[in-house]
Amino acid sequence: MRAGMDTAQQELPAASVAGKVVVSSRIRLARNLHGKAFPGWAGARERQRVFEALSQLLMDEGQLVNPVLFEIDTLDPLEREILRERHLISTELAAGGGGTGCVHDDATGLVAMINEEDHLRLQALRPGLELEGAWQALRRLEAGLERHVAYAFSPTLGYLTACPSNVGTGMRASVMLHLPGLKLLGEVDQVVRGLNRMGFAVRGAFGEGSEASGSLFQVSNQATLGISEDATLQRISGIVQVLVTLEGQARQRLRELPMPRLLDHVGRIFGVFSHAAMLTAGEAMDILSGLMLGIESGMITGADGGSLENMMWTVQPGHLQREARRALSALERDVFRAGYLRGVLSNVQRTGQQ
Amino acid sequence: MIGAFSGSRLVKCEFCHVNEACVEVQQITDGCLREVHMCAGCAAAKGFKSPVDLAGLLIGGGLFPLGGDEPELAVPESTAGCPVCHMRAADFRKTSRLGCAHCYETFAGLLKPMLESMHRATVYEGKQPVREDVRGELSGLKASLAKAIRAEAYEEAAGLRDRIRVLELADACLDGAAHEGVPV
Repeated sequence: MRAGMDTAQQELPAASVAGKVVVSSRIRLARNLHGKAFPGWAGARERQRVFEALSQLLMDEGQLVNPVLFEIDTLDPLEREILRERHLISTELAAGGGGTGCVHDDATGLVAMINEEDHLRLQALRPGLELEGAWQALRRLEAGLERHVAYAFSPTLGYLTACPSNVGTGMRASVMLHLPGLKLLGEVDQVVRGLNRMGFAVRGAFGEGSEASGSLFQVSNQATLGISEDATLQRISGIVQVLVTLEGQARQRLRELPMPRLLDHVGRIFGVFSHAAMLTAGEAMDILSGLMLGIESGMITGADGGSLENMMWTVQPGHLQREARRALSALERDVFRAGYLRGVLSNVQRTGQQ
Repeated sequence: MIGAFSGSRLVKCEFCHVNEACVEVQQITDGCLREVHMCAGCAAAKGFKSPVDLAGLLIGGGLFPLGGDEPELAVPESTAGCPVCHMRAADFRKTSRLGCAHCYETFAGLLKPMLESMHRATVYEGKQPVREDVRGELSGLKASLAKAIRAEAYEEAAGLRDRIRVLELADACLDGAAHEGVPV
């Protein structure tokens, strides 16, 4: 694997504790160049020209400390998968061909996807709840680029994007939350429906169309038109506070239940963790989530929340194969994952606390 | 089978790949059952306003394309396409992606209900690009300058003129940078 992948392989900042609810914050801005066809409709040559110009501009951009360029068509499938699992590129870009890629700067947590659905998808990633810091970093990057390019913009519709669902601010602010209490009490579906009604989208940590494994949920704004950037961030921050409160109350209720619901859950998780011979990524994430809950309630020792949280990423197929140093089939991965989890977490123990 | 979709799975719309799906359609094609999920915006763009409308279209014999032929749609559209990028409404419906910035004008009629459904709004309320900021301030200052001259407030007019010169220079710089900085 090439040297450039190193910056994408570093551990996520693990500034968390087991009881933490907010895992990370992410903001992205969709931007297109004035006078150029959007990437999906542009011809291959035009797409390539835009890619070369924008990648050069980003590599020279003073806001980025140590930018690394990834050209998708030069990456092997495993490298693409690792970038996708790290949220540095989208699933759509991971499947991209010539004239697509990303510039990543690990030092600032900034990444720019080039020629995904839009010419530019500028993104800032931060651990914990730090939307304001992410937004300021993104604004500086966007303004730096604007010295050299004109964005497609309309006074009435705002920044013009390939998909009308992003037109306006082009901003998607998203916060990743760990909600095991609400999930265990069976209240997540109700909360998700409420969030949807209020105009928020809720997704799992990786990809869509599946259960939110590891009790991880990404909450983001849906509307980008008729609402300003600041108002969007305020709305997301407000709803995150609500969700943190609800999750805290759920965990408290779990501890106070007359039936040993929490004890049973953590015990079962520990049993599977200790004895399973094969684990899917989703199962491994559920185990990590359960162990975090166990540590918070004193039933589990021998690991800290930060390392468990980071393992949510390292048990994913791409990262796991990098760990194994070879390509593995899905079933081989499940076998490797069960052993890997126990190996890394060999100090994890069930305490006598009831 | 058609209906509102509110399962515990978090499913993205299969057309825009952005919004949560809230409508689920089960269709039997060549003996195989296929589930299609889409958001309210894409459902509206394809001419479906509610599960009842969906049922009507299904019974009427034509669902939207699942890799097959173009459907009959209720949404009125221009057949000419975008004069800048030549995208046609049919192309847009197939991918739910526009071809260029001008498509927003070309397909304004088609987009309006989509935007209302997706954003519950149709007018922008965010920040301006730097250039728009400069131009906005310039036009305000020029109006103030004319007013100051009419009122014979020459001291104020001189201050305004200085500021206008700076902004005009800024606008020219941005113009040059935007068109010469990146050879794309």
